[in-house]
Amino acid sequence: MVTINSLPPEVLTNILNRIPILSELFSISTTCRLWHSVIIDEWFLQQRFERFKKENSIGHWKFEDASHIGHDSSGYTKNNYSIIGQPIQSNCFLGKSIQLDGQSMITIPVKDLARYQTDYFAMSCWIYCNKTFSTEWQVAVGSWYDWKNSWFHLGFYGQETLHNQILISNTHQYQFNCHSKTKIQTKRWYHVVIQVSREKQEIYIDGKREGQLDMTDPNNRSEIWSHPMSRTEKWEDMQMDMPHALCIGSKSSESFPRTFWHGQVADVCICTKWFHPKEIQAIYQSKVTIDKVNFGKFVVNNIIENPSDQNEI
Amino acid sequence: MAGHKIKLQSNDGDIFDVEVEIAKLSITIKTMLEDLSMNEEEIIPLPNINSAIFKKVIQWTTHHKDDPPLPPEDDENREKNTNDISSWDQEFLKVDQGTLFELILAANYLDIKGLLDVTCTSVANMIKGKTSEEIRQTFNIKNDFTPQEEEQIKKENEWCENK
Repeated sequence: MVTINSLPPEVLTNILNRIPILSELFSISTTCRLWHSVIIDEWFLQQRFERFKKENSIGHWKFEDASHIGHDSSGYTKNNYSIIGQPIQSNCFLGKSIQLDGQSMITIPVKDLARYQTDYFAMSCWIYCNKTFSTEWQVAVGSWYDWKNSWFHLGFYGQETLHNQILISNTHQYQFNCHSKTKIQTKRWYHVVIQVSREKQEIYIDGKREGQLDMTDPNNRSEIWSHPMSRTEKWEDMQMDMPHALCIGSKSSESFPRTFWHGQVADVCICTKWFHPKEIQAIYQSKVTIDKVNFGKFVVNNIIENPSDQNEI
Repeated sequence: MAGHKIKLQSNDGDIFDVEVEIAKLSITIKTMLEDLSMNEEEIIPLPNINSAIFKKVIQWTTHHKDDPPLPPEDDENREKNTNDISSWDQEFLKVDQGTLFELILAANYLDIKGLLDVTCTSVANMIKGKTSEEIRQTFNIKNDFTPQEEEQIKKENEWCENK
């Protein structure tokens, strides 16, 4: 009788490739030697990571073309963008970045793009701040439009830690701030990932999760901008805002103050799935743009070649 | 030509008259007919497939013969739901494990992508949500790790889950 382990290796690989959740793949790699050898394999894990990016990336800005500074290499936004001020291409350790002078930004309209109308997404970027202000907001990437399309924005105010904000309910406008532990220092690059769902937010700085926020409880909100919910309304029925436009270098092209960023932003990538924490570590430690990250090699190097380094990577 | 048939022989000797249009859903058979210039009057042997499995393959290809080609990967269609199995296919795949794996082997040998996709997805769905011990029980897999390897694997998994 044919058994699963007597199938040709390429067929078993095909089957295991269909397990979408990385942590589940790691878990089932402990089934037997054969499955372990298929899963904990540089090629297999890298193919999976490539597929993850291809299927889930809805925007990737590497700022490689100075004459088309808002070019989206994922192809999804079709290079449809506008510019305020003079965002210019700059060099950085990743290759290219965008230099923002506190008056400049890129706006990408996404209101008519179906895959952006989601309450489940992740955003990865590198940020570098030239100067900070005691009473001024700076937002690196955001989508905060007229209080009805406030999807997210990542930034900081004065001496506050870097954090992400989202808004739930057009009617009540409950704002949830997910804080990291990091106070932004000038002249230093940070890798930041935010992960958002209706229920939860996470923020990672330089490969480590520094904050998470449970949004199933309305009492965890930071502000109420409209009026509190009545007792008859159910919190679980309240929806997150959806985006109107994505902005790099500010939270919005519409609202004032625009909370411009003073510094550089690089390798902005938006996905419709969350990254696994090890993928975030790999992106940070690789110090290359996401499309060049070799996740398979990162895993194999860490768990095969350095089996004793369980905590420090 | 619609309705034109060819003869295909399973490894236990049975001969099947199959419409060319349906048979050509198999890239392997299509290649035999077109590239190797096999005469359509000749009996084409299928040494890796028995009658029972080949009947199932014909049943599947007959049902799916008018399916549109797999959709192109456009912008709105990039994200595929790997759990999707049509209700007809779900019913079709209500078979014992041995038959399911033989269908996979047949789809692989005959190079019928749609059948390979749906059968592999079906097995993946049997794996999802299970612990490794439950998977071993489901598929009768022996835990062949030595105690030392188990310890190492446990550490690996701790690393993988360490946030």
